[in-house]
Amino acid sequence: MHKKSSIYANISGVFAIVFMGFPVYWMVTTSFKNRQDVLSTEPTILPRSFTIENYQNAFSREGFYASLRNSLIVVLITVAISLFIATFASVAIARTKFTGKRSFISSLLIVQMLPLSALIIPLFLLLTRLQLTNTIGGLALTYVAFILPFTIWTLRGFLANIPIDIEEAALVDGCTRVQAYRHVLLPLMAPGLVATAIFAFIQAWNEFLLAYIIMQSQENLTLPVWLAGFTTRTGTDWGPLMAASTVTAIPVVIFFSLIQKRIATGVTAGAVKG
Amino acid sequence: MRITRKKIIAIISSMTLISSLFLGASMASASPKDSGTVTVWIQGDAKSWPAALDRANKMFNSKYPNVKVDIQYQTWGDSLKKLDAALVAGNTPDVFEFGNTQVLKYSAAGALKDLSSSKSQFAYSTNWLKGLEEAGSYNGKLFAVPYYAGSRAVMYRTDLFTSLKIKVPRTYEQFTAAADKLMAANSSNSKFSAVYMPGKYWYAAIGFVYDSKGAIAVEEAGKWKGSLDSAASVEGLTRWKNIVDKYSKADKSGDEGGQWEVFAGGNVAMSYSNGWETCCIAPQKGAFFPMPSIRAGEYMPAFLGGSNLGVPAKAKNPEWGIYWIKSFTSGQAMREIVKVGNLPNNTSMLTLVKGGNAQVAKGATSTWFVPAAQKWVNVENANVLQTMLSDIATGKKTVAQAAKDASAEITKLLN
Amino acid sequence: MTSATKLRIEPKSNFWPYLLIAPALTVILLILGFPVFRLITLSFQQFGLAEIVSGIPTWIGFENYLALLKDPEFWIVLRRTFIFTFAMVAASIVIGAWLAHLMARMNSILRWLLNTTLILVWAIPALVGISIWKWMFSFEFSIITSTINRLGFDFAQRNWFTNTFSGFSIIGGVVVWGAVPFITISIYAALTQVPKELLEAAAIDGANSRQIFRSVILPILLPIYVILISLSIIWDFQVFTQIWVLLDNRPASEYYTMAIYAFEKSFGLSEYGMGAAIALLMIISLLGVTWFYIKKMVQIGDSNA
Repeated sequence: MHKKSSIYANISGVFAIVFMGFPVYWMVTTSFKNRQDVLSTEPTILPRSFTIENYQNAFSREGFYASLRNSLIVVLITVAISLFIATFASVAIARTKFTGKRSFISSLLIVQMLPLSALIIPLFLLLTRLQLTNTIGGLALTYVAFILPFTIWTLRGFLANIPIDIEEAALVDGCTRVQAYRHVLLPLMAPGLVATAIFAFIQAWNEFLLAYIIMQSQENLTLPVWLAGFTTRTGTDWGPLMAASTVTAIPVVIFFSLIQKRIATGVTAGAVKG
Repeated sequence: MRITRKKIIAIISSMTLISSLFLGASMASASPKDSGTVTVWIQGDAKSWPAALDRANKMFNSKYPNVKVDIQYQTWGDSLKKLDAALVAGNTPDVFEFGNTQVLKYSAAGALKDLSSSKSQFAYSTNWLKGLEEAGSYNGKLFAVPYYAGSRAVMYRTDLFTSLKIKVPRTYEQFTAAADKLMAANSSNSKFSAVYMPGKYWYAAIGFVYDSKGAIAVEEAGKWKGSLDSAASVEGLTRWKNIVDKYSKADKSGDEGGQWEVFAGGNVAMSYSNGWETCCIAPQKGAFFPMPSIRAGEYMPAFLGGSNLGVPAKAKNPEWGIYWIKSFTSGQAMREIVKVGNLPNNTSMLTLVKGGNAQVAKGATSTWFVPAAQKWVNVENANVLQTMLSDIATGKKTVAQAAKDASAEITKLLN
Repeated sequence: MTSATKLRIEPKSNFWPYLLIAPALTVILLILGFPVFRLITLSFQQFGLAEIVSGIPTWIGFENYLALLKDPEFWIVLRRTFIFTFAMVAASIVIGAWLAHLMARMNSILRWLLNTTLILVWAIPALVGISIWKWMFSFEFSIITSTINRLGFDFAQRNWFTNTFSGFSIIGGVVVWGAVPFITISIYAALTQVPKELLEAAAIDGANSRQIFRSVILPILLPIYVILISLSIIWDFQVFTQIWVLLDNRPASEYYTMAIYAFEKSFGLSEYGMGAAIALLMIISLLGVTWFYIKKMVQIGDSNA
C-alpha cells in the first residue's frame, strides 16, 4: 500500500535515520579510528584519522574464524528447526480446535516471562545430565526452546490474518489439503516466516550468557563470547572491539537482504499460484 | 480429515531431527589414570603471557605426556556464575582462577580441595606474597595457590614534573605540595586533574583509611564489626575527600575503570594506577612512585590485587589440576608472567620487576587486604564502599555520616 | 475469517492438532520443563554455596516469600519496574508504529535507507550496542556531552547517571532504540499485507483515509499490535543487560529492577532460593497486572480456529 511519498514522512524519515543510525555510525567510524582518536576527550562527529589496524588486530586474534563458523552453524540450525516446528504448531493453534489449547497458549506466553538468569543453573544441570553441554546441538536445542514460544505466537498471528476462504477456494479447486497448505497458505505466510526467521536469527546470533555457560572448549565459542574476550582486567580494547562488531553485524545484514527479496517474490508467487 | 503421507513424513522427520540432536551429543569418555584431559578455567588475561602457559604445559606434559591440557578462557564478569552452575551439575574444571577477593567464600563453603598437604611442592611457597596467601587460605588451610599479583602506585607525567621542577614526592606533604603546584600551573584548563581520583575508587580511598590506622572491619570475639566510622578511619576518609575536592576533576560518581585512557588524554598529572597502565598511555610518558604515607619514610598501604588458582573439590582429576598449578606457578613460568608487567606471587622475585613497575613493587611491601570474613563478597556485591565513597565525594553525606551508615551495613552483611 | 470459520472445525477428539504441536511441546518441555520445576522447588529452599557443595538443600517452606513481602525494598523495586516497563512499552510501540506508517509513505530511497538502518541496529550484538551507548554518554569520552558543549551550552563533563531520572532516560533510550527495529519492521510487514483490492474497493466506495484506516487497515494490524505490545511488556519487564552494563556492572540500589534484584540475590549473594522466589514473584506480579490482557490474548488465540 504505497502511496505517494509525503514531505512530512520524508523529513521525519531523515530524522529517524539520523537518530537510530548514530550509534551504528559511531561503531563503524570508531572501528577505523586510531587509538588516540578513539580515546579523545574532545570527540568529534567526523573522524580525524583513518586506519585498518583495528581490523587487522581483530582478525589476528585467536578464535575468530572458529567462532564465526560456530555461530553460523548454531544460528542456521536454530532458525531452521524452530521455524519448521513452529509452523506446525501455529497451524494447529490458528486452524484447529483441541482440548488443552488454552493451556498450551497460556504456557507459551508464561514461558516467555521467565527471566533467563534464574534458569541458568538448573538448565546447566539438565544439559549436563543429557550430556549436551559443550555441543553445538545442545546450544542450538536450548535456543530453539527459548525461541519457539515467540515464533509460534507470531506465526499464529500471521496465519490468523489469512482469510480461511482462500484455502477453502483452493480446496474447492481440487487441491488436497497439503497442496492447499503448500501452495496457498505457505506463500501467504511468507512475511510471517521471514519476520520470525530474522528474529530467531538475531536472537541466536547475539545471545551471550547461555553460549558462555554451555560452551566450554575454546574451539566451541560463539562470536558474542569471543567478543567478550576483548574486555579483560586491564579494560576494553575499543577500536578492535568495534571492528569485530562491525564484522559480526555483516552476516545479519546479508541474511536479511537475501530473505527480504524472498518476501516479495514469495507473496507474488503465492498470489499467482493461488 | 485425511492425513497424507507427506504430513506424516514431515512430522516424523521433525521428530527424528530432534532425537538425532541427542544421539549426536558427545559422550564424555571415562579416562584411565595416565591419559585424558586436564581442564583449566583461567581468565583471558593469560593470553597476554603465552610464554608462561607454554612453559607450564611443557612441564606438565613431561610428567603426564598423555594428558591433554585444555585451557578454557573465562571472562571476569561471568566466571563465577559458570562455576556455580558447574558445581551444581558436578561438572567442574580441574583448575579455576579466582580473583583474590572472591576465593574466600568458596574455600569456606568447602567448594575447593584442601591443598595444605601439597603446599611445600609449590615453588616459592615459603615466601608467597602474604596478601595472596591469606586470600587463598581459610582456617589455616590452603585452598587456592597464589598466581600473580597487581598493586598500585602513583603514575605521574614525567614531562609535567620536569617542566615545573617538581621532585618525586617522598612524604605526604611533598605529594600535596606537588599537586598544589600542578593545579596552579594548569588553572586555565577546566578538565585538569593534578590527582585523578574517581569517586568510587575504593582501592585508593581505603588505602587512606589503612594509612591512618583505620580499617574496614575488625573481628571481635568471632563477630565482625564495621569500623569505617572509627576516628582513625574517618580521618583517612577526610584526607581522601580533600584530594578529591582539591585536585581531581574525575567523575565523582564514577569508578576507576579505564583511568589510563583518561591519563592518555593529557589532562591528568597523577593517577593511582596499576603497574601495567604505562602500557596504554601513549602519547603521554608516565613513571611511578610509591604513594607516600603520612608517616615519614613509609608508604601508604596499597591494595594487593591478584589471582589465586584453586582445584574444585569435585574436580575429576585433582592430581593433574594440582600438578598443572604447580607447573604454572613454577619459577620459569612466573618469570614470564612478571615480564609482561605483573607482580610475582612471591617476595623473592619482586627484584625481577623492571622499569616503572619496580616502584610499584617497592610500594607493594606495604599492603592492605579486605577483611578475611567469609561473607566479605556480599559487601562487595552490595557496593557498600562505592556508595559510601561517592556519597562523600559528591557531598551528598558528610564523611562521618556516610562512614557510620556504611559501617552499620558492613556489620549487618558480614555476620 | 469469521463466517467461514465454522466450516473448518474438526472433531475435538482428533489427534491431528496434537501431532502438530507435539514437536514444539517436546522441545519446550524437555529443555524448560525441568528448569522451571527446579526454580519452583528452589524458591522453597535455602540454597546457597554450602548447599551447592553438599548437594543437600534445606527446605524452608514459604520463608523466602515472606521475607520478601516484608522487605520494603521489594515493593519499591516492584513499583519501579512497573513504571519503567510501562514507559518503555509505550515509547517503543508509539515510535515503532509511527515509523512504520511513515515508511509506507516515504520516498523509496529513504525507505530503503531507514530499513537498512533498522536492520543494522538490530544486527549489532546487544552487548556491543549497549557499550556504544555507554560510551556515548560516558564521563570523559562522551560525544553527546561534547556536542552539547560545542553548541554553546556548558555541561562540562557530566555523569548522566548521578540523577536517576536522566539515568533511566538513557537506559530507556537504549531499550527503545533496540526494540524499535523489530516493531517497525513487523508493523510495516503487516501494512504491506493489506490487500490492494480492499483499499481500492474502499476508495471507490468513497471512504476517506481515516475511514479506510479504521475499517480496512486497523483490523489487519490489530493482531500485530496485540502481539507486539504483549511481547514488549514481557521483554521490558525483564530488562537486565542495559542497566547492568550502563552502570558498570554494579548498579546502585536506586537502579534495581526486578531482574537485577533477582540476579543480585542469586549470583551476587549466592542466595539462590531467594533469587528463585523473586523470579517467581516477578512472573506472578506480571501475570497479575496483565491478567485481563493475557486472558484476552488467549481468547484471541483460541478463537480463530
